Amino acid sequence: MVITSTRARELAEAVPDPELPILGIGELGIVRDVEADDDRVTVVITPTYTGCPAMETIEHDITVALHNGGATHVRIQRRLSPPWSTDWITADAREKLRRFGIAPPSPTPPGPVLISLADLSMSLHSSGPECPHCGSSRTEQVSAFGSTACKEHWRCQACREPFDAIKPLPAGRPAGVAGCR
Amino acid sequence: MIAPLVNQYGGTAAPGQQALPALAQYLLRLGDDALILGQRLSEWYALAPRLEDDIALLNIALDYVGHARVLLTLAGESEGAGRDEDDLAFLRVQEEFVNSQLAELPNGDFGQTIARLALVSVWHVALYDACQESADPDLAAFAAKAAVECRFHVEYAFSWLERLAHGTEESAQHVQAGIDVVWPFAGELFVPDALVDGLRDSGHAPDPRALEQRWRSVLEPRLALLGLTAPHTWMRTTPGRDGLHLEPFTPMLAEMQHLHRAYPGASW
Repeated sequence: MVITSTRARELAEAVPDPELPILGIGELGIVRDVEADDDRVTVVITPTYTGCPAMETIEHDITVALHNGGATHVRIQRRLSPPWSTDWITADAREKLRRFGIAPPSPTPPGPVLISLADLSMSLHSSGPECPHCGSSRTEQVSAFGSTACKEHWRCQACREPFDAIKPLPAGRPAGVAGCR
Repeated sequence: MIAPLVNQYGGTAAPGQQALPALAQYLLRLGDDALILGQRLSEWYALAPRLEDDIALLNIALDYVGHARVLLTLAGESEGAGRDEDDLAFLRVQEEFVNSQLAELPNGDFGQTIARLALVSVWHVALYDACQESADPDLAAFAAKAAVECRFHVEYAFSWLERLAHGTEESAQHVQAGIDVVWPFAGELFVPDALVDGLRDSGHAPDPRALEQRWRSVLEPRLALLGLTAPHTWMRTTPGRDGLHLEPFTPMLAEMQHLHRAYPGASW
């Protein structure tokens, strides 16, 4: 059966994130490219957090969705460059996260990120997340590590509820051509 | 089959290493560091002092294993002999592993674990930050993400370094004892050997001398601020990179590899 690139893209982007099923992988910015050639489809994805074990499930789910949509041969390729950033998560997706009780990722510092080691008070968060339960900005981080690779653990000092926050991953510098320093 | 080199200890260098292209060897070093660090840190599972630290340490271990997966996959592709990440992780023998000895040191107590994490995580950020400009686009792309992920490791390690150093007399003793054990091994990370200097010249890898400078500029003032001291001993050879490992490496490797080796070709 023939499948168009457009339809294949729709199907791929609609695949729910295994950990956050309210979101499709499309709105997380994971799907980079989809090309259909008759009944053969190639999908290019970018991995999110390096240790994230959900990527395997995502690849499997993409394959199943496309087979169900009529594709006979499905090939998934991982593209590392440019690296995925939480900045790629759409505004709609951020709102869905908030309604689900997870604080969306803080905006990351603009421009290329020189990883500062000397000044650790320069946090990777340009501002803390707002509490997804009560909206207060009086929040404090319990741990930079949470239940999954993508989450941090915070608590609200206003309503006293704990909540998960998506860990910010800035866009980083573009892959260089000049060679290492 | 290429005959193994004989190194200055009279033993053989990691068999087959000289047959690998330079970049593949370098990626293998970084990948083995990550893999072995991930294996070591995961030994804290269910044993950490608090639930939040169990989660933190295991998340850091997961980051390391994730980094190892990418680096070993890239090393296998660069080698071009059809070996994938699993072949490299589970089917090589001890002498073929080229991780630094710092990575394979046993965790020791929590103080030693934090001491080693502080040293390794600062090196990782300096290393991966510089590798973002590698002439190899895959290494550069991977490094862009790994540098940020390792920055979270630095924050965690430094916050515990401070709490232990400025906690009680006992906690300060434990973290200082940890520094005394791990610090000398850090020297291996920065030894400028022919492989790294060659890759520096071709723009693929950063200069280890510059990395050492950046590493010291962060850690030495931090230790001084916390009232901790670094020992004078400093490794200037590369035993780990030559496939020579400490005695505890053997049982750790067996634990890591035995399941995969017991069921060849098995899959979930």
